[in-house]
Amino acid sequence: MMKITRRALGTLGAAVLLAPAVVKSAGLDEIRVGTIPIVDSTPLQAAIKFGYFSDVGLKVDTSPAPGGAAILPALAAGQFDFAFSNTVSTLLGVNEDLDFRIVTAGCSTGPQPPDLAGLVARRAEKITDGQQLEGKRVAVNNRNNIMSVRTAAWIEKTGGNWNKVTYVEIPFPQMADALRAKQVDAAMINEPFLSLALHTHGDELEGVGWPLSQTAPSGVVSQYVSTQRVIDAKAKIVEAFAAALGKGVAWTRANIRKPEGEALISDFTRIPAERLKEVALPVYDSVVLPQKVADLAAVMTSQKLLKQAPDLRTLIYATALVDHAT
Amino acid sequence: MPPSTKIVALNAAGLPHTPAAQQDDPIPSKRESGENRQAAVKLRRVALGLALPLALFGLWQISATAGWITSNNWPRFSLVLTALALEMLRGELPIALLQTIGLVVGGFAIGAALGIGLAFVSAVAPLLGSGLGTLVELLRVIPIPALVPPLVLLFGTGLEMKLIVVAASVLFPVFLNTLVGIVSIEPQLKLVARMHGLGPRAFLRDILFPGALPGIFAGVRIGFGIALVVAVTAEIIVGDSGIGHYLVLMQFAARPAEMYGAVLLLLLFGSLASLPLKWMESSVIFWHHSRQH
Repeated sequence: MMKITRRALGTLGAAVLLAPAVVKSAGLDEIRVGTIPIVDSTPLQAAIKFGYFSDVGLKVDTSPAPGGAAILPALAAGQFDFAFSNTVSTLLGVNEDLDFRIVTAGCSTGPQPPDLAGLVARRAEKITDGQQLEGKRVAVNNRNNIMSVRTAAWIEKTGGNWNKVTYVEIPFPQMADALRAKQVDAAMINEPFLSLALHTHGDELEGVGWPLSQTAPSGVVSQYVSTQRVIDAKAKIVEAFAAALGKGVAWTRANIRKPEGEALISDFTRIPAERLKEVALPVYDSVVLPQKVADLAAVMTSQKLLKQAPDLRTLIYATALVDHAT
Repeated sequence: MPPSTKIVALNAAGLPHTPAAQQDDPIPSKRESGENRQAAVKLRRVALGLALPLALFGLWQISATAGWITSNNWPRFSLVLTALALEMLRGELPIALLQTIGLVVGGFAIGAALGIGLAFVSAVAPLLGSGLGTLVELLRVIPIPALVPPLVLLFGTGLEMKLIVVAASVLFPVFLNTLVGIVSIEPQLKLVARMHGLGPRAFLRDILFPGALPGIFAGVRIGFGIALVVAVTAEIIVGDSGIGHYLVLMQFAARPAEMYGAVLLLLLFGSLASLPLKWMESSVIFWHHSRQH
């Protein structure tokens, strides 16, 4: 992530010149949103589907990037006006002096397990805490994101030293196979792969911890991010975006466990609706609580990922502090 | 007399490119049985060619049903076929395939036209050619997927960017092979043409172009295979269209059967799509030794 943002910074100059101006089409301002087709982005999809964006004069052009790694660099380069990003990646970008601004809330972990991701290990080895993971290999989907930071925090909290653990980057779909083939000793697996792994290989694999809610109950996971440049150029559009997304959050909260909600999620993630019933879903936030972001930044500083604590008053833009879902 | 036939005549006169079959079977009665034998050999070759993939698919099915491999990422082959059929009927997969075909054909056409054009420019203007040759030698070793991130910054994540990536990857093999085709034209042929007082346009049309055709076809054949690979790779990295995007979407939706179904579709498309090219090649440059076995 840090490498990518640095590269993005280098090409910023050229990209600013090429940054697309806001295009007026049929009276609507066209905005480009970088997103990932996962259950976390349901409010955005709901707001698009039910016309909340067009109600406020916006036409949303989403570019779903399944991996998501290119989203923040593309935002920094001006290819997107907004991006859905996990908080760790956002803070790492800010740490690299990119002008990211949190403009509206995303998702949080629930107050207690089950979470939308869990730490899984082989039953036979009876792993119960972080100390047993010292000297072992743990699979994460990305070395520097919310999953890896919370996994390190869990290892620390349960008596281990995360510096003595080797992180191996493996995509979520392949984690269970890597565990069973003993290429790794534990894996931080996201849904729907978590429930699938425990369902198919329950005789071999077991959940050993919930790093997200056990280290930070109701901790932040993601937000919608823009840049100071976009805010300076189109403050009205940023406000409209936050308002429309807030209505999407309200719809999602009301319908997420109903057939309509499952149909919508299944539609953009392609996860079969019946499988959705078995998986934990994130908590959909409508307002950003600065303290929660500060807590995460403190954890990242203790893990030596941040040089200094971010200035939350510039990082969190005014629109993120207003509850738009009510 | 059309230009190609003229070349054939010259070629046949200048070079010993006589069909191999005629040399092997000088007696007509023997030649007939030889043809029968050849047909049988061809049939056996096709049968063997199909048997191996079918056996592997069978092994896949058995390994999944018998529990040799248990993984959510190893569905039974029969489930893959069912998923493929259902997704084709549902309509998403055919649209994705059409998007990929559009990207492959579009990028391929641009890249091939540029590659052939540049090769002829280099042949006609040798100084420019050596400069261009060095640049191509330098650029062609870059893995094209590595160029995708900077290209995203310059051209966005849309069709334009992906067309450029595909065209760039097709350009190099077509350029180099066309150049080889031009260089390998018999010097005697050029001399004869000059003796007959051929003008520069006629020289290009009747000597250079037909002479370079084997090289052009070799480049085009290689380029087309690369175009398919690069198009799907580009779709995997960015954007929301085509088989590449579908593959990743299904992978992250924990639907490996659908994912493998799409791979199977790519396999079918890739092998069928090369047939028109092969047919074109064998009917246009039927006189070339590479076409006669």
